[in-house]
Amino acid sequence: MALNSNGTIVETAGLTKSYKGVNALKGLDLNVPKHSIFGFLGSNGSGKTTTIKLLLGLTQPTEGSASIFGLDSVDESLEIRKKVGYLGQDPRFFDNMTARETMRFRAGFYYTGPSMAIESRISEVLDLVGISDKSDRPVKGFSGGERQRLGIGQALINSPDLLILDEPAAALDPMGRRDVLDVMRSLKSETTIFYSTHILDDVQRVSDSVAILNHGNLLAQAPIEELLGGSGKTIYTIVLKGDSSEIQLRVMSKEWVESVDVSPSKEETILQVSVTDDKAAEAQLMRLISTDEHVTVSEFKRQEMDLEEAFINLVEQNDDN
Amino acid sequence: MTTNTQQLNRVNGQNWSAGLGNLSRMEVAKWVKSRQGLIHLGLWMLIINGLMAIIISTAGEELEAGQTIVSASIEPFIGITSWFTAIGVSVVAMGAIVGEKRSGIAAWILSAPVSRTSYFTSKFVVIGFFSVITMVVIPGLIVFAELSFIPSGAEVGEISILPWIASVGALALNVVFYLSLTLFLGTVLSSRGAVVGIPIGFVFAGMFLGGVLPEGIAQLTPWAVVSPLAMELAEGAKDVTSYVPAISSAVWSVALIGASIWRFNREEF
Repeated sequence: MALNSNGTIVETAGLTKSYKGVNALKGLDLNVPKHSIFGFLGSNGSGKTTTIKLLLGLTQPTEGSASIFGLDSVDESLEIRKKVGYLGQDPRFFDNMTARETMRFRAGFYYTGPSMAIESRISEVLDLVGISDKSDRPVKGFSGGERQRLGIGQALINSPDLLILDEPAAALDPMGRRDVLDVMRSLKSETTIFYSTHILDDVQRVSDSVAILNHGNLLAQAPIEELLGGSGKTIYTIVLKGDSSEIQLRVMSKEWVESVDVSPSKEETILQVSVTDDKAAEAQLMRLISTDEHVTVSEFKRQEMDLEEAFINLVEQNDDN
Repeated sequence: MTTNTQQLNRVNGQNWSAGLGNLSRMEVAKWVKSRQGLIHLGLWMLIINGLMAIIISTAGEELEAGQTIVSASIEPFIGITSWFTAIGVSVVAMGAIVGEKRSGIAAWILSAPVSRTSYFTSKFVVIGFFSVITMVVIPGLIVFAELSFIPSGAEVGEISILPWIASVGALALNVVFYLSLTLFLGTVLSSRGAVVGIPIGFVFAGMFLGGVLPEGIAQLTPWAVVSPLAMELAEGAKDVTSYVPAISSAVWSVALIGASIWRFNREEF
């Protein structure tokens, strides 16, 4: 499998797409590492599907370029599509075809034979996505989840080096979502998965790299651990009973404390302590509070930033700017 | 995924014809496997051959001087076939491109290693072939047989196979022109109504404007160019200028096909 110069599967440089003067995508610079499950995250209308269509040659960039396997997405699109599997956002197939016929039709674009081997491959993929018992039913009778499974199956028929999935779990119930995420995990050793979604929980469960898009702008791109590390700040939530005025001042005086938000309620006070040095806070904060005789600690927890928080922070910062 | 995909022979096409074979097989299956072809054939035999059976059986009752049953039957055959098939092929082809563009199926297909030229060509060739066979060739041969087997008599007249084939060929060209027009509109428009409405408008424009325009211009216009030619050919016309409408219709068809492929290669999905 050919790679881009920096060892990535997908690389875009200043990729821009405008529709009637409106920029749907603004100078996207993206790098998707080989054998990663790359979550392409963004709210509706953020430019995720536009990016996927540009990668597949279904639409042309207004400016910039994209390369997959080191091949140009405009001039060498046909060669790229031989090695890519694709599932659209709202997958549509010929309603009168059965699932097996749909797979056979798709396989015909990649393989000429022998037919026994093609049929074997089709059965294997139908089994993998869990619809082998429905393989001879017309697609028009399929539920949304079954259609999605068929969509993933047809995207896998050519054993792609890159699997591009546009919102693969959006139409599924929780069990279906879990199954799809399991399939994605199982494929990681064989292929690179680039998938768009707005379901943050899914990204956190399966992705190893993430890019966040908002209004066509790339806000962040990093391995997920790095992104969740965010700015390096950690927040401690502390619930105190008693008079906490003195301890608030003592906490605030520490150089590793950035801010303290106080939320008084009837009998308790909730402190949200934002720290810049997590190690110092871990070592000293609890000890410091417990030395104050006027308060008792009823809750003390280190609040880790989850992806939702990271996402919202980045999007809100971008919207403010 | 345990299958050793190295056992499978990979498709090698990289040029304009990538995916053409697979797409054509799928288009053929739509006509053959779903019995669409048989339904169309039955429908067109009912329309054309049913009407012609009535016309032929009553043609002997009101013959003008010098007219035979054969000559009195040719004009309605050409008229019925050219009008109905122009509308028919437009209806058949209206969703072929615009429907798949709107449903997302076109984008799905084109995400595979398929050239856009192949996508268009498979539709043009397969719809064109089955439309010509079911709308023109088989009904035309049946009408020929009906006219050939009328019990002989002075008022029956004669019919020859070669002029008849030439006439049916002109009617086939008419179908190809309207198919080219409909598919072209499918590449530039996104409304099924407009895609089918404009060709039908052309059919009616031909009815009303064909007789108003000077003959030289009328022969070059993209409507009603074929009916008079088909009639002359059926009657054994030898005048070279008779073929101008055929050439004009063929040129219009080729131009529309070229424009369709050019446009479709620039389509944004």
